[in-house]
Amino acid sequence: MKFIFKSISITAIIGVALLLAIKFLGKDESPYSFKLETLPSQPKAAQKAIADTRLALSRIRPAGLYIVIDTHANKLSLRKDDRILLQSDCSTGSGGELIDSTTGRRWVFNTPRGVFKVNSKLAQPWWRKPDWAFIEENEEIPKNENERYDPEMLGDYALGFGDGYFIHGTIYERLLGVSVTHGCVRLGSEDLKKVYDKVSIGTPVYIF
Amino acid sequence: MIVGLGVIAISCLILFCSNGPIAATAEKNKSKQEKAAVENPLQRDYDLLQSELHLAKSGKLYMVFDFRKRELQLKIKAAVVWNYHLDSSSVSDEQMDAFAGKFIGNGREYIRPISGKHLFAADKKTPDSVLAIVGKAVNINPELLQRELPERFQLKWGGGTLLEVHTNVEGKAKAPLKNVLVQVGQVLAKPFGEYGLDITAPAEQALTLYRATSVGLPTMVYPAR
Repeated sequence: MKFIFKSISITAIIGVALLLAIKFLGKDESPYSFKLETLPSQPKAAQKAIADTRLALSRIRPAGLYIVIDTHANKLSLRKDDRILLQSDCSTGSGGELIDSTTGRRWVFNTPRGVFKVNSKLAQPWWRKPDWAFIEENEEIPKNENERYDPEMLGDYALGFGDGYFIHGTIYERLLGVSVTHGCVRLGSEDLKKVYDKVSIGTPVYIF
Repeated sequence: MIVGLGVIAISCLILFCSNGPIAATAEKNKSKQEKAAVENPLQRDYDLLQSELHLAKSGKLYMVFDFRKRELQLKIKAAVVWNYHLDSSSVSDEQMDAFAGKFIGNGREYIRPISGKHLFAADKKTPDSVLAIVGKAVNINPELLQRELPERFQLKWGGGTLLEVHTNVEGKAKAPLKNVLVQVGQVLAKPFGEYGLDITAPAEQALTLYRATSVGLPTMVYPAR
């Protein structure tokens, strides 16, 4: 009898503890729930609150040209005020993985997603081949720095958007529209020239 | 045992008092305020702007049904990164109103995450044989290069709204049994108020929408009026 009572009370304590935990610890706010402000009752103040919020939203939005890279369909577009000024096929990261069997170093070739800015504009760029470019080709990594440079691979122009990623030309134009790159964005030479001429340092780049 | 019963009593007291009359009154007042807010068009505009500002500040992708512009959009930081025009021949004003009404409901929940996604049928964008050659040339697994062009897929949101996208692609069924179950579920849910929009989009547009959206993607609706 004593054992039964003991079991019941332990079970009850555990049960109540669980209920309390759910009630007080489980208040997991949805990432999308936030406190909506109520408009002030005075019409002028209400109008001002709406205008201020509209202004805050317009300040987040790009004021001029912006580049959009759709990694899903491999499309690059140049937009302004939500209008498409130019759209063309591009190639983005393959998602492939490379592991250096000797050192264990690992690379995943994805195009980064998010919000970036054009931070460099280069004409006739030379590619400084990183280590993975040699490892991938089963070549020895050169000790001489000069052996890393390739004047052809990036085409006529390159637009840097951070962390060594560029929008650049390609010698493989037939592969545009397919995700074959090591993370950079390849564009056909004609479209690359148009984009290069139109954008400036600071132009936002949205990648999704 | 007495200690145990004491703990139970105190716990129950805390548990139920915090849900008691004070909380109930607060809840009642809150719903009154919400009702008043929803019925005020200015407040609704303000709520919608606040909601988008909240999403835009996150810097992450979100989806917008902008019925004022008859557009389905994907946005980052309030900038449109993908859009599709909803033609009046495929989506009427009444359908947009019904969808917006259902999506927003009677409360002030303007942002809803995608709660379900189902691909009925799709076709491979590039033949495997071509990708095998390309993959070999560029040292990449051909499977990584393949894209599925959807023939038909569905996105769902809590509150009983769904979007069904069709294309002119002749695809293969991905999971025939699941397709049947999803369709049966839809038929059963309709009498309980589930509301859906059907659109037909070009395959490439649908490809982006299908691949860029995932369960959890925040979505909001700007009603047409």
